Amino acid sequence: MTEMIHQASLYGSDEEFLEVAVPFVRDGIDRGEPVLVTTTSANLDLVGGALGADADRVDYAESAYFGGRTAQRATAFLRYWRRNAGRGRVRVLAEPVWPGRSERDVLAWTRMESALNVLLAGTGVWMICPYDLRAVGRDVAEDALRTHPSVSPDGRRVEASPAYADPAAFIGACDAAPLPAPPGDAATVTAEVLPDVRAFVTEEAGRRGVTGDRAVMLALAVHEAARYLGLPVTIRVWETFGGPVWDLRAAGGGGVAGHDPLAGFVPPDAGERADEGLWLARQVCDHVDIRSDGGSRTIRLQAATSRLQESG
Amino acid sequence: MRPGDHRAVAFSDEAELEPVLAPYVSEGLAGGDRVLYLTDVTHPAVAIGLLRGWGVDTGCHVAARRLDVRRIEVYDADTMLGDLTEAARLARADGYRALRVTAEMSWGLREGADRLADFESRVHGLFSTGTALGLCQYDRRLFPPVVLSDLYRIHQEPDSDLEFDGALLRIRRTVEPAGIRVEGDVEASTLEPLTRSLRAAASRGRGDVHVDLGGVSFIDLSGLRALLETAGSLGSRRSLVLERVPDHVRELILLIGWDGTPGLRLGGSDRR
Repeated sequence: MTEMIHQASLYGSDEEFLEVAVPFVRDGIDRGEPVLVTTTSANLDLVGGALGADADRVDYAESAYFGGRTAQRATAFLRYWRRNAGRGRVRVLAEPVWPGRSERDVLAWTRMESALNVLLAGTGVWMICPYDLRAVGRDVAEDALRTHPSVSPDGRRVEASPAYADPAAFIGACDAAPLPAPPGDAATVTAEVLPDVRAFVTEEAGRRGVTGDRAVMLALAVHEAARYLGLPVTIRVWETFGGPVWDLRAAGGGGVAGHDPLAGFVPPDAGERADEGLWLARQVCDHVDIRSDGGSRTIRLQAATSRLQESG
Repeated sequence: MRPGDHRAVAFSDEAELEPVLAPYVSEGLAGGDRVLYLTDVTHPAVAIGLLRGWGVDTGCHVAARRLDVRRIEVYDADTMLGDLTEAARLARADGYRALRVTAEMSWGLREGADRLADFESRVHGLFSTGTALGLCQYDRRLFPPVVLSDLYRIHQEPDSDLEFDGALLRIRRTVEPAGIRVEGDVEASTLEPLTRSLRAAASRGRGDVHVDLGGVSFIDLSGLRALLETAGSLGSRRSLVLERVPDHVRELILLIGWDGTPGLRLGGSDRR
């Protein structure tokens, strides 16, 4: 099996972007390999212009609409690979959206860059992630060298990145800060069975303006997180701007052994996996945090209320 | 059970009565019926205690006049029928779907089996108007078996399509189209009966297996997997057809990307 290649490419101008992007994409076209370009609309225009008539041999997506959250992005990559792997080595030029993101989101997306080394390990995907030095902060650019095993000088060669950090260690560092403690007046229940989990969520969600199908999906997300953690589980909920936070806590011993900080990033497939329910939770929720210490394991979910306005 | 139904339950102790009577009462209270519980020998307070023990929130339902537990006062068929007809009319007038009656039938032993049979036949007429439904309680320790079987015959057959009847989930066999109908919550604790019913449905015929999901209020990933695995086990010429798929279930199947699974077909949606 071909090894996955995951490269960062830091660029400071349109020309520098194209110097890497075009050879990478063209080589893929020439070899008949599946090529996906997911970047900003400006860079899509640049790539399209440079490819000319060959542009229609490349799959493309605007990054803002190709996985709104990290787990959705990872899922989109895995699905692209599953659909296209039969045609040869899958090439992906992947530039996430960085400007305007909150500190918390920047951390989540940086963490995901590191996680891709694990999540895509068995795929043989060749992925180059361009970073626009005109748009991203220095810290984001520096982290790119830690989250990618190599850099791409020309879209062809592989130069090891000396700063590359082992994903487990890097993700561990991302998760090192403790989650803020739940407020003392958070509504709380300790559920012994899953129907009690759903009843609590439905009632508390209704009180907070989450109704209809959104409430059903939220109950499902918390249910699946509880199923993954194991019962009994203590659930607390409190308000924040951007949707209530659901904090699930279970004793260290029960449920699955240990804990995997990357649980729930891979979409369900033919065979059943213990963490596939958590994948559902990650699709429904805007934020999912997993923590464990000796005494307990925590999953914290945040999902929008019906105040979230959607287009269409 | 639905409005118009008239069934009997024979029991030897409370443990045998509970699985039939408890869901009968709680489904009525949850589903928009007024429940009238007529006792004969049992003090109403004891019957209320029994219901409470089965998890029925008797206090709030009694206060809301949704649940009425009282003793039969006049053992005369005409009076009883008149009272029941009036109570059914009132229930409908108060906005309830139907009057859901259950009654201890031990009074028939004192009044005579003939009068009891007469009552049972005539009360059938009230139920057939669709404004009421009834569950008659027969204590096996009191009635001679021959009398009991005659009385039983006046009632409808027990629900023979019912394959599984649990607190969260109910599964019925369907003939046309061939398969099962699933009602309630599908999750880890109800997976085993679902898997069993799916397997049985698959082995009953040689055609497609239809699963009516119209009554499903919740299904988790493990439940969807059970459906998927049945679909995969049917072979290339048969499909598992999901019927009356609720919107949230359809959304879930699309989200996971299982809509294209070989052997799995999504039939019409049920927009309620």
